[in-house]
Amino acid sequence: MEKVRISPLQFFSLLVLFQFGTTLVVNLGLQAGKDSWIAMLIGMIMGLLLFSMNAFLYSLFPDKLPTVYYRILLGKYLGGFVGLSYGVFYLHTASRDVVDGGLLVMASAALKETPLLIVNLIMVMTVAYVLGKGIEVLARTALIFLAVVLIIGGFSLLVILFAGIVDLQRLLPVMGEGTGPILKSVVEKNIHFPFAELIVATVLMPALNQKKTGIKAGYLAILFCGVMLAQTSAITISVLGTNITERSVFPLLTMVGKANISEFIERTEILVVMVLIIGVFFKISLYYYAALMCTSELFKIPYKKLIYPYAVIILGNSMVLSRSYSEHLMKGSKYLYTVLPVFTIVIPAVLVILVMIRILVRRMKSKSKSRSEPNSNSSPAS
Amino acid sequence: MIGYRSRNRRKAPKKDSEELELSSKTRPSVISGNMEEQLARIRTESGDSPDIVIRRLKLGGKDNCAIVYLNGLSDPQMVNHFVMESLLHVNPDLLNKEDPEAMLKRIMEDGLAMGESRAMTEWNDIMLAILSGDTAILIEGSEKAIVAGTQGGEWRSVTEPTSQLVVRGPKDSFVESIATNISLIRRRMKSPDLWLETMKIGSVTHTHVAIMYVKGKADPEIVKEIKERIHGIKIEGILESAYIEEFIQDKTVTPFPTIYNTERPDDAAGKLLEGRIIVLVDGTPFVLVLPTVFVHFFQSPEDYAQRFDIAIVMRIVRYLCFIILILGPSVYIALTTFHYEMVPTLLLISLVAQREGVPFPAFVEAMLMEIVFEILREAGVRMPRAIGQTVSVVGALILGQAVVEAGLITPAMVIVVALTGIASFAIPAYNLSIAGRLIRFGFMVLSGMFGFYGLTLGLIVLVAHMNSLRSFGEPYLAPISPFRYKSQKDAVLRMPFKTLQSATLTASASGSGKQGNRSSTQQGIGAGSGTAEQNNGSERGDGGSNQHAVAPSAEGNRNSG
Repeated sequence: MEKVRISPLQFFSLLVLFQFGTTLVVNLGLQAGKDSWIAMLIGMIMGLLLFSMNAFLYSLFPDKLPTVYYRILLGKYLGGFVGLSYGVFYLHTASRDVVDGGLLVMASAALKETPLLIVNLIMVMTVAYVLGKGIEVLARTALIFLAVVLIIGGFSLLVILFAGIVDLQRLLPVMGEGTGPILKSVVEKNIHFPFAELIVATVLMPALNQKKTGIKAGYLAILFCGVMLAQTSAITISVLGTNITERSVFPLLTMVGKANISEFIERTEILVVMVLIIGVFFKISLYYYAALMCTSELFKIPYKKLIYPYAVIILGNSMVLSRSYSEHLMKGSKYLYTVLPVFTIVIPAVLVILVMIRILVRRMKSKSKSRSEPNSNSSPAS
Repeated sequence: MIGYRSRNRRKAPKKDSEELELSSKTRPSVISGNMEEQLARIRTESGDSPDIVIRRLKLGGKDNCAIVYLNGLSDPQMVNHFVMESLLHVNPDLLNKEDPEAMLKRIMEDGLAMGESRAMTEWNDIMLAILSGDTAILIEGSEKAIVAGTQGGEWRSVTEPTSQLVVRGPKDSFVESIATNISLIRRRMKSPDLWLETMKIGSVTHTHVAIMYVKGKADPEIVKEIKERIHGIKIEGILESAYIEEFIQDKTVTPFPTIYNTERPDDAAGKLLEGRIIVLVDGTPFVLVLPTVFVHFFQSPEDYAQRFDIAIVMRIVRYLCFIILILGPSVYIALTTFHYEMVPTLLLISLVAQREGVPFPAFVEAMLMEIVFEILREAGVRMPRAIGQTVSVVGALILGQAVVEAGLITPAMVIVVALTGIASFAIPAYNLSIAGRLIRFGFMVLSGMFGFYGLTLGLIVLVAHMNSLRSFGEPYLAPISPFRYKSQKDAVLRMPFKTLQSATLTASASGSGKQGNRSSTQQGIGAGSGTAEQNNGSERGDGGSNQHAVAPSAEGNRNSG
């Protein structure tokens, strides 16, 4: 593996853009109604817990790709299989995000006559080009685009506030229907999308140059994103009301499009589309990179050789995934709580439990063997 | 023109150089005691060139001495007054006529009123010295020749810079003579830490190339790397510093210049103080600065002559100009073809009214106008001054006004094209503005096909590409990405001098663990002036932070290899 180093700040920006990716714009339905922002915050807390599992595994196996420690923990064959299935999972999710981005761009950026294939093609080509330059370049690019996204976000927020279309009354009553819908929404949607998807961070972590600060940056990224997403969803609802928000294909775009200051600054949603494209780009890039790293480590092929074959796979897969946006969304929300949790929650949890057991067993052994050496409770990595 | 001429030049002397190599193989490489033989050899090897002057003298009554110099390249005053006159006035009684070696020594020590004179034995060195304008003194029977430094000849005198103008600031500029250029820098920095190393590059031109750096500030690894790369150059002639630039830059395909050049001594001195290394080439006023980062191209020496708040605004205006230059026409295309709902209604109505009757789509319109503008600019630059007026009349009236009146192009497009044109002139560095002009066309195609979607993806590719560039190990977008808080004071912004003093500008915040090693190697290299260095270090306060991290430079090597 080439020696790449990502600084905590770059790690932070990668993760933030990754989470902004599709979440900001895609409408997966409002199970929690007016309280979807609360659901988002709870989802964020769950996301922090999930991330702590990954961070725990990373702290035991620093500098090791997940596919390596899967094999250490689960044995050569089972671990290899799990690593491979992660690769496939990442690849599939990457192509799902390509479709997300492509359809969304076609609907919102006035590319109605361009074939989806072409739209997806230039996206995949861009990602492949940047990944060809290496993950360090991607991370440094993320830092710059995080600044761009924050500037656009701040500008849009100002425009919305000054346009005077925010009506906080629409958010009331808070938890009018009890906690039931919120919890349902958290379990079905908010944990997985986007917070549990941060499983890709495990592939990035070995490249961190400062381990502890890097992990902190990861937590911070989740906190930051959770707050930003919750705030966005609260503003969207307070501008549009639950009714329109639920029916709109891209509530955020609809919301931003309503802002109008003295008939000069109006319809700034194209800026939001730019944010969306940037976010989708980084989301695809990270999944793509994760898929590349998993397979290149397993089969010992330099990952740069795999970039273009994978581009073809992602592009082909994205073309056959679904026939329309509604179908894509429907499949997506099912995928969220059927397939995704296996990889993001179940397997990491199993691994953490395995590690715990191993540590306990070692400790017991070392205690029973020699009570004179209490310090020998080393990590299972050794 | 220059390229064309140089190619011709390179072709022609190739044979000569081969012959010279051959002849130097068959003939002895050291001079012999036979003076007449040597003089004849000089004549034959130079093709009996009439500008090589051979003057015979009598020392102590015998016809036993000759001086050889190149008419035009040597300073005639020096040759006449200091070489000839002192030789003619050597007291013949003091000369030991039987032992030519002793005589030569005597002349060197007592006879020549010259600062720079040395005894040489190598034939090629003597030949090269004569061809550089020095005067060779040959003595019958001696196997050495005295070479007296009489280099002179006509150079353009120091004038105002023509490519980097300032309102306030020094008005001198580098010239074509490397000695003058070095003196211009030395005059600004009277420090023994300012080190100079020279070499000769070019198998035919033997051009002097000098590198200068401030010892203790410049990264010795980079200095070494630069020297290696310059020594590795295999070319017959160096006629401009761009030749060197192309040979030593990190090998990547990119429109962006990765080496900064300047013709202002104050700019070069400023970069030296930042710990950068400059490369001077004889025969050109343009000096290379290494390693270069992107923000350099937006800095003007003027920034340091104005108040810092003003300077910050001026710099931001330049960045804005660069953005307008690469994105201006493409944003216009995207807005008018894909996203017209974003344009305020009244403005949109007027735009649409203009477009009525124009036969081209916005993309074609923009392409046409930009190409016309490029043609005008190229014609304006290369054209003899006397007909410059014609170009502006044709450009402004016929192309600007008539094209609109004929209904071929909308006035709004003319405005956009004019704006990008002006914006390209506001960037201080010409080579960056050419890069921007090229990239602009790529963005126009992208936005003509995909609107803001293509524009955004293009921007991502552009930023990623710039992130992947390195200039001698230094990331191209350095203080911004990777973000280095300490170096922000003079990158995009320019903080007051009070704060600038504490931080050296190339300081890398990362890699603090490696600084210990680095400073020790540096002391190992510069063992001679260890105390001076320590003083320097304590003055600056952070002796470690002005060295580049080791890792980037190593990666740079890998890139280049």
